[in-house]
Amino acid sequence: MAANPFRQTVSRNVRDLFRLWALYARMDLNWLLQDLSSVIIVVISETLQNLSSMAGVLLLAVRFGGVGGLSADEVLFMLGFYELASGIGWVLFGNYNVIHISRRIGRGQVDHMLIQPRPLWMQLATEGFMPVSGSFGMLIGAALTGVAVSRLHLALTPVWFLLLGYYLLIHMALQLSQSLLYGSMAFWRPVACEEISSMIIDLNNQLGKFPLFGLPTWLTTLLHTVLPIGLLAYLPAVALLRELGKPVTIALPLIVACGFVTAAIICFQKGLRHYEEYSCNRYKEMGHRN
Amino acid sequence: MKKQWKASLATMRLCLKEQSYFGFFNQLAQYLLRAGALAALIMIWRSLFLQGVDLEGMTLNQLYVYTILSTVLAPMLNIWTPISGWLHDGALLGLYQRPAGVFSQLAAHTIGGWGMRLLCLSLPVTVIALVCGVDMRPSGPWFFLSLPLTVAQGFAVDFLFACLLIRLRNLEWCVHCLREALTALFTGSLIPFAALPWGLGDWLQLSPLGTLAGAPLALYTGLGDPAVLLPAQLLWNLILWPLAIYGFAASRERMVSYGG
Amino acid sequence: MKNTAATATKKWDTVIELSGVTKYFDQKRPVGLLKREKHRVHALSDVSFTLQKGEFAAYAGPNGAGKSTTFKLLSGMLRPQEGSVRLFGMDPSQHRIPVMRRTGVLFGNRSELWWDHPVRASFEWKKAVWDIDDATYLRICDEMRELLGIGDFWNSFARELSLGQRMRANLALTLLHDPELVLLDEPTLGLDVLAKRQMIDFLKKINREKQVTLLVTSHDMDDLTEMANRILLINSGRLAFDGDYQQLIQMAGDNRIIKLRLRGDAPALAGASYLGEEDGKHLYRYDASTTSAQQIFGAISGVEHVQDVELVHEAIEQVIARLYQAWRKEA
Repeated sequence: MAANPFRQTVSRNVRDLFRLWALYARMDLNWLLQDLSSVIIVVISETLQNLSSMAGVLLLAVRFGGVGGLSADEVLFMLGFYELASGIGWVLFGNYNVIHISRRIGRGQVDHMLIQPRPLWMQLATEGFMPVSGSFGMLIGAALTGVAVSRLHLALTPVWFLLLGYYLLIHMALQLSQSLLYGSMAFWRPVACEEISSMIIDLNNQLGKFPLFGLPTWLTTLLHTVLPIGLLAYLPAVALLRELGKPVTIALPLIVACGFVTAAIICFQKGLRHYEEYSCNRYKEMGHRN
Repeated sequence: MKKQWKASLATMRLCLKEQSYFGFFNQLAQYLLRAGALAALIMIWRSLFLQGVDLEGMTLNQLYVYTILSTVLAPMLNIWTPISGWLHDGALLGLYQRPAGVFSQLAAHTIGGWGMRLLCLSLPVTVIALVCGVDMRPSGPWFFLSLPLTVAQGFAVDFLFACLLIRLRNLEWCVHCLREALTALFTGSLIPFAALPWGLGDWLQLSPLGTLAGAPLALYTGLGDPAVLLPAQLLWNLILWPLAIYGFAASRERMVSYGG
Repeated sequence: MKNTAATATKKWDTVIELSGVTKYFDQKRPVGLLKREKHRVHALSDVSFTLQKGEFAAYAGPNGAGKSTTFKLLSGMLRPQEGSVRLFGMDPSQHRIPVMRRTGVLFGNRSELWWDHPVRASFEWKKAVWDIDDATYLRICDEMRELLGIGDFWNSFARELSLGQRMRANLALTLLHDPELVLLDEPTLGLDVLAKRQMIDFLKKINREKQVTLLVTSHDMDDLTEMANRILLINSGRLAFDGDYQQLIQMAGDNRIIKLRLRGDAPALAGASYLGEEDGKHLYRYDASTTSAQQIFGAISGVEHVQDVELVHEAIEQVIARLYQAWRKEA
């Protein structure tokens, strides 16, 4: 009986994905183990960065006994969730400017991808994998979320965990799709937009950790749709802590995330076609895979 | 001396022009994102303030001005010279091939790069703030003394981070993370020191990083004491500059041999 | 024939086929602080050529002639506005993956090495991404160690390599998947004499023994002459010459150089033009197709105080330089 070609392709792609993930994991480990001092510095710098990035909001919450309609412990949960979600995203896509895709595009380094005999989606899905050196944010996030959960005495049910996973996926989809969507502008404006993916991620990291309760309706709507900062941690935290299973808290993130993912795919493909027409008149050699 | 100024001005002019070649509309997305971030932060402060919290007597207008100025003056309050990028791609060597000081060239490149942002982001934001009724007047003259001290100190801090980068040359990302971590909280550019708990702000405002953004912003808004902040800034300049010069000289060999 | 990946068989003899390829870029140039001027740059105009399996061709031309654009078109990175590009019978921009499995591309100013990893790691990475089997990997790594000397810096970090070492490592990496077609843009850039010799020998060897098709650009015409048996000259986006070196020399004029050492000023020689003085010798050039050696020696015999006479072929570098100069004047 002839094998189904679709199934064959799928199984080959899955096999290749795992092989490539294993390869990049090995490379990440080798990079980290260059010497002991590297390990120590990476641990210190990553820990400090992850802690300090949320310290501002946490300190405000401690100072005022809560902030933006959330108690100090709820703020801790929200921050822990943000760190966990962005940490997982970082583990999967953090290396070699995959999540900062505008750098690759703007530096004319898409050429390096085009000469590989692999689909671009597979390269983007695997090259950023850094399960060892990039895992600190994820671990810190998990620890903070755990502390917050125990202080809040939450009832942890399978549904709760399912929704936690759902919101983590939404967070990653939003971060990655925004990076790809805005980063695609670098196809047309390589120099001016080289850092635009980093900017959007920095913006999300800065503002996505603020509780948004009490804002005017128009701004709340804006921050939950067009500039979906509220969907990154605030809405998931409110949903998981207070409004578990409320339809709008489930449907809205999904709709917005689907919109961003679709727009990102369309724009990236459009940009790629432009790249095939005009290439990039700029090339930064040393930035390649850094 | 006159020649050096001429050289620096030529570099600044070129860097400014370089930014203008990108075109305003090409960079519009970046400016809009930054302006959007500022607007969101202001609204968050507003909602916090309306909850009736006590911010050590800080008024809402002071909070607005503090936040707006931290965006308007961002390139000066947290100096990032192109040195880390140049070190990475080997372009730093070029600085040694020119008949001008390395520090002055880096300063010229950095200052020249501010122009477009000041024109396309800082100026419109200030105008919009004024139109919206924010009282942007400084509370006293001390800010104008504090800002140059901040810029000078910022360059010294940047050069010190560059020295660290040279030492840990395969870990530039970590140095970047470390710097981001320290500047996010300890410079006072995002959250005014007065809003921090446990009297943390009193100590941080005197630290080498706290005197960078925190000091001029506090002096502009009248939240800080010039008799304390200005001597602290001067002191840190006197300590950090010799360190930066020594560190740079000590790292020179590694710097020029990087990249093969 | 319908262009699909399936139609490209392993027996395809025409490895590269460019038909009427035109490629231009629209650019905007600043003419003031805010004003931009539209400008169209013609990178390639109606370029056609084919390359058969096992050919070793040089692709040369002055700076900005369109060499890199051609390579990007061949690699599927760019698409032409007019005409078609086929590699192994496939359009590389549509069938990038199967084309790249059979093609090795190296841009001289770009590195495929992973900057913050030892050289070895880049090879292991390529093995996985290109799905190279163990036997091929080990065999080619051994060959590269022997012929390109990459074993000396196998465990060094890519960022610590010298330019020559980086070039050798890049070339070795390009060839790791045993490609049938190799596109090399300035492969001898930065190499010392020995390394250059090793690289040229190596490229000739894989061309001869494995029937690998090679298209190479370089500004070093002596290298190209030694490596390739066919030359494609491109000028201002147009194919100006396609043939072997003998034909090129005939086209440019079969010139000889006379080097005359004598006491006193340079005399006039009938049938030859004076070029100048070099190392105490007066240099003349004459066209061997119109002037015979006998005529020239007859003229020299009439000159007094001649101490030494040398007669040599005009170097290929000079032939090409003369062509480029003539083209520039025409433009």
